[in-house]
This record gives sequence, C-alpha cells and structure tokens, in this order.
Amino acid sequence: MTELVRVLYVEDEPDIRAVARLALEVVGGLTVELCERGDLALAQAERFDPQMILLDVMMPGMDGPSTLKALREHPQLRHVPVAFMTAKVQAHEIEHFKSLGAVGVIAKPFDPMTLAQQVRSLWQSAAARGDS
Amino acid sequence: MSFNEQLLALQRQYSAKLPDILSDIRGLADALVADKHDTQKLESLAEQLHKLAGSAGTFGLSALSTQAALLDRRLETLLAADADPDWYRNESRLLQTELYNLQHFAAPDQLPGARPALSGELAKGEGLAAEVWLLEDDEFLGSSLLAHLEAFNFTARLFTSYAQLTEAYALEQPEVLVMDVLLGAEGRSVDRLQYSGLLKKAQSRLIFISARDDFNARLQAASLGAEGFFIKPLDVPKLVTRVEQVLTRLHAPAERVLIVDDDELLARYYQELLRGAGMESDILHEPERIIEVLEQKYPDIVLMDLQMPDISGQNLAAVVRQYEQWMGLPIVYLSAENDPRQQLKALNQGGDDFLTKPVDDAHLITAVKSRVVRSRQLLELMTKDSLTGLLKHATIKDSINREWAVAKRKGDTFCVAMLDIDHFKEVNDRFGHATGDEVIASVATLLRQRLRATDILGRYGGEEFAVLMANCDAMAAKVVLEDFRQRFQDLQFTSEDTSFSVTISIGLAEYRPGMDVDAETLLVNADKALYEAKKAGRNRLMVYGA
Repeated sequence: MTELVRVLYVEDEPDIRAVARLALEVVGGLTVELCERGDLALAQAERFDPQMILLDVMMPGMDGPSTLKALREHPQLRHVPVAFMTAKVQAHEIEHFKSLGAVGVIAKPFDPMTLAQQVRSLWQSAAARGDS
Repeated sequence: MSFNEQLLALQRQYSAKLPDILSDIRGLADALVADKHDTQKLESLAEQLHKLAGSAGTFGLSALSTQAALLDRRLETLLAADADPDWYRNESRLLQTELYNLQHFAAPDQLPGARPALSGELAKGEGLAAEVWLLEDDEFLGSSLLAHLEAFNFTARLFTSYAQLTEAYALEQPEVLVMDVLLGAEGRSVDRLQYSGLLKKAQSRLIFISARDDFNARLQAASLGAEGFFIKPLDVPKLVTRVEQVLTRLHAPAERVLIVDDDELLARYYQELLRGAGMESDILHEPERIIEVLEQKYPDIVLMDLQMPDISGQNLAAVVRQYEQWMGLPIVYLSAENDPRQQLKALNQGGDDFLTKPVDDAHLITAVKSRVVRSRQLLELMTKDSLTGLLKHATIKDSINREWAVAKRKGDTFCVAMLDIDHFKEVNDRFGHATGDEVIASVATLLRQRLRATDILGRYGGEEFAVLMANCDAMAAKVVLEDFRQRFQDLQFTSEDTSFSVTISIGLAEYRPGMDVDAETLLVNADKALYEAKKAGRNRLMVYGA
C-alpha cells in the first residue's frame, strides 16, 4: 500500500489554514498545499496531484459540496478521496455528506495534535475500499 | 520554533482578533430584538456563529466553540420555526443576552484534572504568582522589601523615582502597586498624586507607604482606593501579608448561584444576567433533587421561586435547613407575591430575603453579590484562624478526615505534615508577643505561597501547623516542604533594631492505598515524625517510618 504524502486543504479562513498547515506538516509529516476558494481548488489540484483533499463546507462563493461535485466531474481528479471539515456533525448531517461522495467528515473545531492522524485513517479506509 | 511555540503564536494571533469577532456578533445580535425583521443580519449572525464554533476550539478555546455551536443551533430553530409569538419574543431576548455573554466562554482550556499532581522536581510554589511593583526612593529599604516580596514568590520590581514608574506604567500595569507617597527628593505627597495621570488610569490595587501618619493623608489614600496605608518604620511581614490579602480578594472565585425555578426560560434569563455580572450559576428544575445538587455544586447562594407546581419554596427551604451543613446557606425567594404577610411567613421558614417579580436586573445582581460577600466573610470567620487566615484546628481535622475517605475510595496517595516553630517561646520572651505573632503569620503566608492552591493548611495549635497535600507521595511532599523550610530559615525578622531568623521542624506521614490507617493515626504518625525531628536537633524534616 502506498503512503499518504500530499494533501490539499481548501478553507476560506486564514487562521484555520495556518494552524492546519502546522498540524499536518509538523505533526503529521505530510506535504500540504492550501487553497482559499473552492473555484480555485480544481486548477491547483490538477497541478499538485493530491492524494487526499480536505474541503471546508461553508465557504463564500463555491462551497464545499459544490466543489466536491466539480471534482467528481473532473476526469483526472474524480477518484481522489475527499473529506469534509465541518462543525455540523450530527448523524444525519454526516450521512448527507457521505451521500454526496465524501469518504468522511472531520469535526470542527479540530485538535491540531490529532488532525493528521484523522486524515491518515480516513485515507487508509478509503484506500482499503479501493476508492483511490 | 518548536511545534508548541508555533501553535501558541497562532493561538495568540487568534485571541487578538477575538474581541472584534465577538463585538461583530454583539452588533448582529441586536437584530434579534429589533422591531423590523432583518433577514440579512440574522443570516450573517448565523454564519459568524458557525465560523466561531468551528474555529475557536482549534485555538484552545473549546468552551467558546461549544457555546457558539449551541447558540447557532438555537438561532436556527428560532428562525426556522413557525413559533408562538410569546415564545419567540422570550427566546430571542434570551439569545441576545447569551450572545452578549459569549466573551465569558473565552477562557483558555484547562489541562485535565483540576488538581495538579506533584512531581518530584516540582518544588516551585503555586501560590499567587503575581506582579508587584514598588516605588521607594530609600534604596536600602526598597531592596529589602524587594527581597521579601521575592521570597514570597511575587515577581517584584523596584522603582526609585516617580518619573521612572510613570514611564513603565504606561506600558504595562502590575497587579499590585506599593508606593511610598512621601518621596524625599521629589517632594511629592498624596495630595499632589491625586491629580497625577498615573493613578487615574491605574488598574492596579494600591498600597501606600508614608513616613508620616495623619488622618488627612489616610483619608486621601482611601479616596484613591488604597487598600493599605503603612507607616515607616515598616513592618515588612505585615505589608507582605496585606499584598497577599489584596491578591486573594482579587482572585476570589466567581460567585456560585443555584437557581430553583420551574419556568425554564426565566431561569435561563437569570442565569445569563448573572453570567454577565461574572457569576456562575446552575439551574435546578426538579426541587426534590435539591440536597443532592447542593452537595455537588456547593453554591454560595440559592435563588428560589416561591410558587412552584408541586412544592412551595418555603417548604423546600425548610427541608434545606434540616441539614446542619446548609444552615448558613443564603436563600433568596423570587416571587410575584405582593402581600407583606405572606412574604414574612415565607421568610420565617428559612428564607433570607425576598425579591418581587418582575425583578429589576440591577437589583437582582446587587442582592446576590452583597449576600455572597457577607456569607463568605462569615464562613471565613467561622472556619479560619484570625491571625494566619489558615483553617482552625477542628476544620483542618475534618478536612483530613474527608481527604482520607476520598483517597481510600479512589486509591490516591496523600501526605499529612505537622510543622512546629523551633524555640518559639524564646522569640516571645525576647521580643514580645506581637513579634511572635508576626513570625506565626509569616509561616502561614510562606506556606500559602509555596504550596499548591489545592493543599489544605491549618493552624493546629499555638505555633504548630498541619498541612494536607493531596495526590502526592512522601518524596514529592518532602521536596516542597524542605524548600519551604529553607526559605523560612532565610527570612530576616527585625524587632527593636535586632535582626533574627527562625527555624522550623517538620514531621511527614504518607498515606498509600491499601494502608490500614485512619486519618487520626496519620496525624499521630506525622506528630511522631515531628518529635523525631526535634530530638535530632530541630530545623529538619523527618518522614514517619523512613
């Protein structure tokens, strides 16, 4: 099985981007690229070729679910596992996000100490199911 | 920079933005009670709350995240529902108040376990590690005071001129400012200071020193809010004790209120109102659980609805009064009862005061605050020794009994120590009882400074002290107490121009899970170890059975 190395995180809040980079790079040893808007994420993903994409749900303009839809329609990116980052984590909400094609949901606020671990385990279960 | 330092830097950045975020939310919250329904503002409010809920916890502010998420969900319900207009009006008013109070949830996360475990290397005290500034142009006196303050674990800074102090004060402010108000060189006195910009802006608690005692100077000091006025030659231990008292008052825990009311919205409104005034409260809807809840929450005061569906407030108060430990608990009734005879009848049955509904907001806050202050003072008088502020003999014995029961159940280790001042009779005979009292008070102050806030300290007898150190073994306790013993030995006392120092002997006994000893025996063991320490030449610590 290959290792998870490259992660793209799409998030409109700069504070959260900064702490996520720290959490994923320093604690998790991952290579991270950040993107602040859903509509810019596709071009960046084409170039960066991430193994996993994290999407904030509520973003101005193109929100998380619309970005996911666009990714799913993109020939090169359609199989990249996507997880949502959101404060809405009631059971029915999680089910809804999964029905859109996300491999999982990471609850906000996230703990910087364990974020990388959460991302890895979501990626591994997706890989085991043959999503990637 | 290490990960932790970087994380801390990001947390600080976020905290710096927080006041603006919260003030935006407060601004939008007003739309909740506006006459015209402003959909755009309310949506923007929901969005802000959602963002806050999702981010604050990542920056170490979990309580704020949780509260924001809760309010976000309630706002959603409020906006979605085809609500009953009465409910909508009450709920939106409550939500607005709660949104205004969000800042009270912005305290950084506490590390798990309120009671820190003592490790062997932790010999640093956990007393009130506060910043104390000192203005004194007599450099000799100044540095001696400085040394004393530092021995008691304060971070102290000495300024020798008023100009120097003013300059530093513009940048940061200490918790306590001790000022000599009659500086020789600059000739400034209290009345000139009154007009100076410095004290007008002062956030610090003030203690004044003066070479001259006169009523007018004291009056002026009082009007400036000074909490102490000391005349030269200075009684340094007394001054340090005063600094400590001022800080203790400053850091007094928030008032805890228990609200017993069957009207849920109203109870929550009271809760928010009290929170806005910095008080903590819990709501009890099932009156039959009151004794259980009192034991869990230990409130300072109970606010009780007089007319509840199944039980009257006065009967409930009478039940509370059947328990000896709740005899002194203030109970204030809230009621729509206007008939003075009915009010008196209710007061007769265990209530302390009566507030008529609808209660004026400011009146409620003042009534609760002043009652709590008084009842805390009374409790202090009942349980604390007046000279040292430590627990009295009976109370410390009760505390040790209680800790023993808890430790036995939970399988914790704890220590009991007995301390005794060496040759105390000689101090009294040579320098008089006033000086002897000063030495006793200094033991208490230094103990409080060097031990953890959760340790229990008592004055056991004349010059004998008992200490209970929870969740800590003999090795760790020994490190802390040895450090205390040495620091005490280094303190210089003065009386009639003679300077002297005093030593202390300590006996320590440890309780380990599985040991078949009761609290009484532990105290006896500590006392035996103390006797060994005395016999071996005093000024030392002995561990029982070691």
